[in-house]
Amino acid sequence: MDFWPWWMGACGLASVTIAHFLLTGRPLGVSGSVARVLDVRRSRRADALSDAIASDPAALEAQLLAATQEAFGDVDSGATTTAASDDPQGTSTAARATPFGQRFFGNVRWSARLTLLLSIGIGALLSRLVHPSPIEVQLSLGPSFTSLVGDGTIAWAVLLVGGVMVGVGTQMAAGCSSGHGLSGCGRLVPASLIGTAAFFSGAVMVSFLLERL
Amino acid sequence: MPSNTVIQHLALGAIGLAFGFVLSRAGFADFGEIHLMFTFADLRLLLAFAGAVVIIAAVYLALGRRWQEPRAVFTRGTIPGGLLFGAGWALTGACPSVVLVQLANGHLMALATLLGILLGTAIYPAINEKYLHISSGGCGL
Repeated sequence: MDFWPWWMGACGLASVTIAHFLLTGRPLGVSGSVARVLDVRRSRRADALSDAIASDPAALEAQLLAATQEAFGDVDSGATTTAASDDPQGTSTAARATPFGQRFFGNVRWSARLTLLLSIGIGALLSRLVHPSPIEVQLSLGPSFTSLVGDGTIAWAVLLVGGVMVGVGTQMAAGCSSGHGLSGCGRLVPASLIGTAAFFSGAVMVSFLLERL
Repeated sequence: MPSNTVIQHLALGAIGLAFGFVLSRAGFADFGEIHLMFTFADLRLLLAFAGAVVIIAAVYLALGRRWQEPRAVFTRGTIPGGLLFGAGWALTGACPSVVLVQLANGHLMALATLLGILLGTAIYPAINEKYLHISSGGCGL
């Protein structure tokens, strides 16, 4: 099968990552999305919290103030009362609390991250429909995998164990090839540059080991 | 942007479609191509990845470093986690998004990879709580 030249791949990956920033204001990160989809309850709580913060910063400030006073005592009550009463936009809070999209379309029952994951698969299907080579349903991952790893039970076992390594590794490193590799390295985040260097090193070492075995 | 509105679903759905399309056509879901990248036998995918990072960095700097947050925080888990993920990537040819593309391209064995990734992701919080005690930093990446 023929693939895109490198520069088309580069432009494609960059466009997707930048579009994600532009449309959502957040970095694209697939391993994080998988974790959020798996842990629905914690994810809902986190989403509700971040929505509340985004839609009503004044209320957040008031709550932080209350929590601070609870922890450290009412040291500077003069300043805090001014801060609380000095809120000219306090009356418009209710109008601002309902975001535009929600007011007109309502919410969807499942997580938007699940939509992201599913549409990655659908996008791949589309790519094969516009491309002349038809989709071949086959057990193996291809001739290279079969000659390096094998087929049958061993191959299934290697993929299962390898998958667990990917799952645990991406959670431990808090990012994968999209979160650390594209979004993180693209923004020159030090931890992401280190994480990317680490997973490339691990992959290079194991790939050369596979050739030796 | 709020988390679960129809607009959010449309936005992430469009991004997912484009991402799956690009990964598939660029060859990132082909085990043989991935192996050639990691053994430096063919630099095409490596250049595609590095080129993407350069373009993103150029846009990021040109737009005045918007989107600084959230950013990954370096922890004790960054390097060992990265090494573990890389090793798994080399064995399976898959990262969490690529496994979906492999399945869509008809490779049924990728079901084992997907199961493994879901399993690994699901058990990590328990492993971390019991043995590792690495703070996630809550960056959401």
